[in-house]
Amino acid sequence: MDKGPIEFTDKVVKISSEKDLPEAPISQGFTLTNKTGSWRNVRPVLTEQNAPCQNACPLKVWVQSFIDLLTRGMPEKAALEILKNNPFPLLTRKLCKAKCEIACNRRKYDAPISIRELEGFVGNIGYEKGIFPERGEVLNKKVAVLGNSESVMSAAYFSFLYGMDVDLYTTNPFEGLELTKEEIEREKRRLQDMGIKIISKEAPLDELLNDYDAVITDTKEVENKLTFQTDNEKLYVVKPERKDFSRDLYFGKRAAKSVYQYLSGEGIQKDPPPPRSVSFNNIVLDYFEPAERIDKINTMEDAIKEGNRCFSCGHCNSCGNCYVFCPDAAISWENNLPVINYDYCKGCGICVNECPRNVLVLVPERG
Amino acid sequence: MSLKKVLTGNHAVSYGATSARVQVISAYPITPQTTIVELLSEIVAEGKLDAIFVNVESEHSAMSACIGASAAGARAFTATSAQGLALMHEMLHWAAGARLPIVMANVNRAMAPPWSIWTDQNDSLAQRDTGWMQFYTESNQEAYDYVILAYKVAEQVLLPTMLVLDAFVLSHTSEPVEIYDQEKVDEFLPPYEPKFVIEPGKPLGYGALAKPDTYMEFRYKMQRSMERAVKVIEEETKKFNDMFNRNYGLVEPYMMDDADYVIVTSGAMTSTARAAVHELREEGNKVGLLKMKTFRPFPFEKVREYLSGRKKVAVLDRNISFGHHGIFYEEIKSAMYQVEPKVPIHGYILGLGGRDVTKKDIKEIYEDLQKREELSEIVWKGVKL
Repeated sequence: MDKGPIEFTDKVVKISSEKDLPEAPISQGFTLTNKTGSWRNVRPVLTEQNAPCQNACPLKVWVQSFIDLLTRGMPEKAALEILKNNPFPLLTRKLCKAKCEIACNRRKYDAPISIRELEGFVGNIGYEKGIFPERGEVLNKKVAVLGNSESVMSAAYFSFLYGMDVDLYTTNPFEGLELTKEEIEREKRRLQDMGIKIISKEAPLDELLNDYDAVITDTKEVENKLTFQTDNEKLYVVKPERKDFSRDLYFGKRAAKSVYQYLSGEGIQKDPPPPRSVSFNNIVLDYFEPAERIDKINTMEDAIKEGNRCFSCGHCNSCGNCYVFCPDAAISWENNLPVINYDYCKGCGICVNECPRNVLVLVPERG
Repeated sequence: MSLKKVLTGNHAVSYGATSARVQVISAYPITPQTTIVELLSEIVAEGKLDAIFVNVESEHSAMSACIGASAAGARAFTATSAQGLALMHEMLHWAAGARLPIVMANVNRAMAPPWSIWTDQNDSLAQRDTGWMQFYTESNQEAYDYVILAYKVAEQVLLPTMLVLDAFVLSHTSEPVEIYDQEKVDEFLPPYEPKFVIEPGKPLGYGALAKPDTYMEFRYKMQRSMERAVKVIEEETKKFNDMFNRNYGLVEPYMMDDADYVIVTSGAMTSTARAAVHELREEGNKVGLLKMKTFRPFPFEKVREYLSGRKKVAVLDRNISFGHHGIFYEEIKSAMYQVEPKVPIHGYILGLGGRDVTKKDIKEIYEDLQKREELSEIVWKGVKL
């Protein structure tokens, strides 16, 4: 009578008479045949949402992601994540106003994360290892970047990342900023190591406009504060405001993007407004406990400790709560992320309630 | 060599469980049951029985622990009484529905309030419909024997079994009890070989949801097993009788051959009734006695066989189903409904809450039976009106 271990199968066991049943009410198969997902009227969905820090950052550094990578023991990947959006993390560590920390949800709980410090510390790892973000498809377009300001330095960096060949005409890079000679040399060297040709002389704008496919400069007055393109479609003018260092870097980033959109034929478009960020009310505080903020980060230990304070608003950091709490075992764990099996998920919403960071959200079923 | 010991009914049960080599014991103390598991705990502690004794916080948990142990393939045993049995009620259904051959000794004790610790059958009979087999024992020897027999039957038909003994009259009264050689008991009752086992690495859902398309079939199977149990009990009792020189049956007749009048009893009062019937016979009365040993499964055929053709039958109930009648009375009457010619059956309620049932009472019932005409009237024997 004992049929041994039952195979995991979604085969339907047919019971046509009492003879097909064992004496005791033991399982004849698995309830996998009963696709309880059909009971659902709302479904939990794994989302990636913006955090307030990210939205507050002029450069839109993906803070939650780099902190997540750092705390998982991947500092190089974390550095790479920063360098995708912030060309000079060692300079922002010194000069940025850190609006991210003003916006940080954790401010309402105990104290904001030391994002600026973390970003600088992790960015430095990228510098030490000579890491650069992957360059976009090479366009075979030549761009001249002319000037000394941080905005044009940033424009050179991003133009190169967008896949354009960059000649940087500069006589006194990062002019007017409180930086040491060493700091300036370090950044200059990095731009060269990246693949940017630095020409330490001035050049007449007319010539450059003739010789290059596009020119970005800070030597004229800004005409267009959204895309930085001038009446001459080949000419882009940026200028630092010197109110917020990161915003000044953003100008260069945006100008480089406009140039790319122009040269690739995509057509220049304004930046869309960022999506709404996860608010403090969306954070499930039961899963956190107060921890002292580390103001100055000098060691990897400090960095990870501070990183662990992060709520990781809107970004799944694989805490596993949804997996643990799913009463129907409808959540599996693949590549460190929850995978919801909608064949069996009844839409009870427990995973959504227990997600500390609003990554899982409930959406109505259609139809 | 078997050994005669002077034992209380409760200790006879403890020895029964030891002879049956139970593997898991879980119980909660309650008067008048406590000494059963008290002695068992000593036997286990002394290493004389290879079993796990699980202390729990209630009878509900005691039965739950037995259910878990039995599902894992162990021979499980518990004992309780009255309020404790009532608290177990939910899990009694579970044990039976899951088809687990657990054996339990229930020491009959009257239900409170008013508070009582003395014998009557309402506690066990209230569990009539849970799917447990029930054996009512008359003596300490029977209490010992029926632990062993209960496992033998239960493990074949996959139904839990309750053996019932009277509070104090048996539980705390000493009698000589023959304890059998372990080898002989082992020969009669081999180790339990479960048909279904919960074990790690062998996933099995036990007692999961049965939708309306299968639930009824499981109930049908339970009833069929109960019906089959009648035959199994008869066969196993016969084997037991041969092996251990006993004279047990589903029901047990005394001086029934030519009896016109029959007194039906259960439990310890049977011994008193037997003495009364013996004396009545000596005085020339054609009266016999039928002892109801097995209550579930109900021995329809045996009851019909022994009661057909009698002039009158008196059923003695140490219990009452409020708003109806004595429970044995109801059931015997319904078993006899289709028998022609009709046998007049009268029901007597007596001995509730441990009130003594004497030979004089039995003889008076016999006198009353002879003149009583009206059927279906409850006769309260000995109530102070």
